Amino acid sequence: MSDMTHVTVIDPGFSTSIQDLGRYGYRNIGMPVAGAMDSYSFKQANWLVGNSFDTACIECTLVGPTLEFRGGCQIAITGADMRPTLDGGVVELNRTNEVKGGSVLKLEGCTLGCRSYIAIAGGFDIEPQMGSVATYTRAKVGGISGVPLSKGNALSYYVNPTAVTPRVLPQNFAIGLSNSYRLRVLRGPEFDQITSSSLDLLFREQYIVSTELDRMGCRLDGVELNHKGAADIISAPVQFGTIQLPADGQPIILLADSQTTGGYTRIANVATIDLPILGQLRAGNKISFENIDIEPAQKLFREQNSHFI
Amino acid sequence: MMNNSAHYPQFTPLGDQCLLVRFGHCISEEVNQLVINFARSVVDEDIEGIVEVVPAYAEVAVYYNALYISYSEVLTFLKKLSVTNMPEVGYQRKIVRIPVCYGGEFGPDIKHVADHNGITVDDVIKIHSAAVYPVYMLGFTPGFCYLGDMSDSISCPRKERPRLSVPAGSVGIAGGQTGIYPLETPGGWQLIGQTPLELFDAQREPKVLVRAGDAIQFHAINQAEFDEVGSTQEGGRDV
Repeated sequence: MSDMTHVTVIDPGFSTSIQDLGRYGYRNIGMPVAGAMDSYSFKQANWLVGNSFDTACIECTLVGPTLEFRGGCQIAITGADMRPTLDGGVVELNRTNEVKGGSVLKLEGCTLGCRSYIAIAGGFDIEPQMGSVATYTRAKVGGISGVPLSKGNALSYYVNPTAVTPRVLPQNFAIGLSNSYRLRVLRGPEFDQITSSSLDLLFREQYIVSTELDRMGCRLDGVELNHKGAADIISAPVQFGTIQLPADGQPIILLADSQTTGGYTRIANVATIDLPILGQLRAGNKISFENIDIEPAQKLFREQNSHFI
Repeated sequence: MMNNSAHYPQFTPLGDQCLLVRFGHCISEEVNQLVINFARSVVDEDIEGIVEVVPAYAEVAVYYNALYISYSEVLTFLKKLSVTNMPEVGYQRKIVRIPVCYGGEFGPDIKHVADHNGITVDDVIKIHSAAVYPVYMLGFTPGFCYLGDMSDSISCPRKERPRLSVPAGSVGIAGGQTGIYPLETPGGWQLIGQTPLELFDAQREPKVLVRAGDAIQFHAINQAEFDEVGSTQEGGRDV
């Protein structure tokens, strides 16, 4: 039986929180799924330290935290490059890293992508709430007291320095980060409530990610799209990846913490395989959309996840 | 023999891991009964690969995991269920009684609502607490109920300037709708009272006091009763 030790948050960074793959089973009472915004990088971080894929990780946003590890362990960092260092020495992304007790891990800012995941072999010892440790701040559930990490927080884990044979992510398996992305989307339930010329524009034009961007949603700036009639619908289910079009004609992409229902027309929905890209968007990124049908989308999803089962 | 074809839903995907079963495009008791009944029957079937079922006003979202079940399998299953599982009669909504301390510090906008309608504050309370409000769905925030059937005689537009913070348990009116804020949030509803009950509590069983398919009836309580109910709940009221 290993000893219990902990990581102390020396500096929380911009917005750092405990996430897993989300809280399922409660959307019918209005509780969003939350969870890792880039589930692809999240699962890879866990694979690199031999964890089950849904093990809680630390999700870092734009500027990462500084953490002190009291006991030895193995960690892995994936996603955006926040130039992590361990006691001043460079830490490579996308591979297993040994950490000695007393070490300080420091993440800085990233210039490409947005989010980074830190996994620890054996996971953190955190009590789930409503079946998950995903932090959902609005209802104050999950993580540490239902809010992002702050200075002084202590995260418990088991000392386990030789848990797994070190691994490296195969080349080209890490998520491709860029300043410009092409998102594959399915037509939404209300796609026919926008004019056909607007539907054309949606698949032809580029949109820019605005500064109105957080874990709930992302507003896009670009060519105005028009409704045939009303812009609003009676409140209906929405999810991570649903693209809404309010009356002002600027699309909104809903993200992990979005509400479970919404009253704007749902013109499209990002395919599951491209949801992780949404977790890496930063203001100023360019987005274009490509139509994909459901069967090819599901086939690609199964292929992408065949090594995660 | 009743022609049930009008009740057959439409099916449309919402992305590649959710199928919507659509019974209409309006807010009505008739449509919502079909929604609630269908949602329950999907859950009862307990099919592997179906993750969760979310009813809304007029449609049901069936979320599934495409690693375990395909789109065409889910569609086939739901189509079959929609044919074999039509309700013969409507079900009775379970009425949940919600105590409300109206007016005063708990309902700072109640006089405005009264004046807007040319009636007294007492009238507002009487009318608001007389009705039985069907709960069509939950959404917006955990525990928030979308209620129907509020009387026009107490309707009132939202505040032009929303409050930065509305206390949890606040009961309000916005346009022709009434509702309760389960959590402290910013909000633009006209606040007419407050309930000491915690509609949502992540630590408690049940997590929510009211579900889609239920109905709510409000009843007036005084400050002393408010304090008493508030103090007998585990944990604080602060969210």
